[in-house]
Amino acid sequence: MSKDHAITRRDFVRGTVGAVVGASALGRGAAGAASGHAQDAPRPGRSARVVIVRDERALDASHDVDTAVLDRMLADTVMRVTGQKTANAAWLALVKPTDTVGLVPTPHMNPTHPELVDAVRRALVGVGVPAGQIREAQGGIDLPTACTALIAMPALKAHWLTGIGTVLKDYIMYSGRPRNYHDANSANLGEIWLLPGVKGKTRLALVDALRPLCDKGPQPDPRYYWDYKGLIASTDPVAADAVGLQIIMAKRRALRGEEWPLSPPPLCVSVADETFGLGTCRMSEIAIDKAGWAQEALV
Amino acid sequence: MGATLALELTPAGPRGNVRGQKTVRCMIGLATLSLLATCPHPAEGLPAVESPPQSAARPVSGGVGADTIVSLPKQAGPWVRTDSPRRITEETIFDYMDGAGELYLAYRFEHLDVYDYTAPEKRLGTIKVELYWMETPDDAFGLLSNDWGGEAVDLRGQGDSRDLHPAVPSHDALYGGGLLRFWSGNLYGRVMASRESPESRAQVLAIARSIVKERPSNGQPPEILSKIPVRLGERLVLRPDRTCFFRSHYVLNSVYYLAPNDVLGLGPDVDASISEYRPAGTGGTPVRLIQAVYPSTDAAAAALRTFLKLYVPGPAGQVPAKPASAAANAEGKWVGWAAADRLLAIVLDAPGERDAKELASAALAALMHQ
Repeated sequence: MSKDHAITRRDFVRGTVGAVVGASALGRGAAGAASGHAQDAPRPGRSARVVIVRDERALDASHDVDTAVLDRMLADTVMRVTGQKTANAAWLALVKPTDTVGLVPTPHMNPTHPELVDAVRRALVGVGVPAGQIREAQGGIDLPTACTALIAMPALKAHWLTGIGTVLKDYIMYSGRPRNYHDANSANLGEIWLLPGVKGKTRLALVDALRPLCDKGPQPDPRYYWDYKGLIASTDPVAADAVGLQIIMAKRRALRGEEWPLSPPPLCVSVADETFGLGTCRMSEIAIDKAGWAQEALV
Repeated sequence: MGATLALELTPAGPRGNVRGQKTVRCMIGLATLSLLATCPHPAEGLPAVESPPQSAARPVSGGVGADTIVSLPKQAGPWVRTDSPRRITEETIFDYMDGAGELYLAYRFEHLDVYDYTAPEKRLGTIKVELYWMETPDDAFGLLSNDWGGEAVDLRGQGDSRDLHPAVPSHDALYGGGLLRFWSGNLYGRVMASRESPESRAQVLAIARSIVKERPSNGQPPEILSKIPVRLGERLVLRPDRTCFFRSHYVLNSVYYLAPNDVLGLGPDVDASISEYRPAGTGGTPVRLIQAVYPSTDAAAAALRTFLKLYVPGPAGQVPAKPASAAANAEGKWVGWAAADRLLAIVLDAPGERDAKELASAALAALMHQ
């Protein structure tokens, strides 16, 4: 897929766009029939692992966070991502105490739960990263430039201009011109991850899926929030978005009882894979490790 | 006092010299709000009922003219509002809602007033009132038409005050999950409780009822919506709850992704609609119809040329000097189009050539019919 190619609806029907994005734009049946699933065939040497940890007690009836439960979920998540046996070992596999760690949450409009940001901060301090070396790094390009490690921490949401507004979109402010990525160029959100102050620094994509938004984001419409009570994490940012996309699409189908394509399609996910090489968007290459509450996991 | 000032300076018409009036309107609106802010307001003792709180309502002007007056209660149950709104303009809307401001600018946004109602107990949450003042009622209606989901609410208690319009639901207000969205003349409103409860729902509705109470009843939806064919024989049947009025490709793409850029030459002077049809029987994919009225014949012809060049490449997309009704196969589905003068109709995802051509022709004929 060319970086500058204008992708029309016909490209989805032809199956020239990735399967996960095609299914988001057309619905599962139409996309599968058009592409013959060729765009989801596994490629040699390509794989990713995405962890989903859920707990029914993470939110109460008022949608307030139980921080003790969240702490346990976070520990379980990083252990599963890294394969380490303890949470401390897991964090130390991701960052060093000498790192300056930038936390990059969604700042406003469906913000990342502050309890999650606090939990990560506590965990980092717990493994020896000085509090002064842990920064909120959402904003201008100078913020990631000053960091040696980044943790992307967006909230899971559909976005009315870019399809999905989660991991790949989390760094949009680093571009210095975020509105430039709200039109045709939204497909190229992945290029921001290759900016000199950003490239190679992301140690973990940690998605706040406690209460995602499956339509009309970023402006909140409570009809489209639901208590998923989960964390999604991966060292592959594209895979994390691809799995989040599956969950959003499944929720949309459940809400309407029929295919409810995501519009506009989340082109940034397939372009981040095929053009920018940031990870994989092919579900055939992604191993999903699910733990905890299993009801309506949607993936 | 503010209401009197506003009424004396009512502009000539909803489309007349709107931009030129902006500065004056803004100044008067702010002056009005400053005066209102000095008035004492009761701050306690109102029950949690759906009827508007009687002792606390005050007229608030969003700009100038009777069409911009609302009555916003100072208190709604335990929630008490800020005296003055946050005024959001097109220059500041991206600070207020980065990533969502384009939606409102796409509909000819004048400004937004935001009021926050807070309660003494945190568990009750807050109620946010967003009043989007638009240039015309069509723009406010368009915002509501983005999503016809939710529970229909009759804010005036008068039933449907306008003629039944088969292409769109007759609702002026929709509620769901704590959020009430409504259309009232050139005002689009969102009243949202951060925590939904029976009590917050009652007050959200009470606030909205108070807002629309003194405002004129809504007129008809945008005229172009009266030109949407309701069915094509027994083969295609319109779904009114999927009809959207729009002026921008941002909105079009959020309803039905066509292409990344503005291939239809849309803009504030274009009236356009997209509607959805269900094929007869089961299992068929929806068929879409786009209708548009352009400010000039040249603009309509240019839009068709651009669309066909991108979407129907090859001989089928060659537009003759005088555009006519035609159709082409596009990856197994059919695209149909028909254009005349300032008018354009495009059919997408039709199951056959006949459906594509006939629906496009019927849509164009309806547009031409006065």
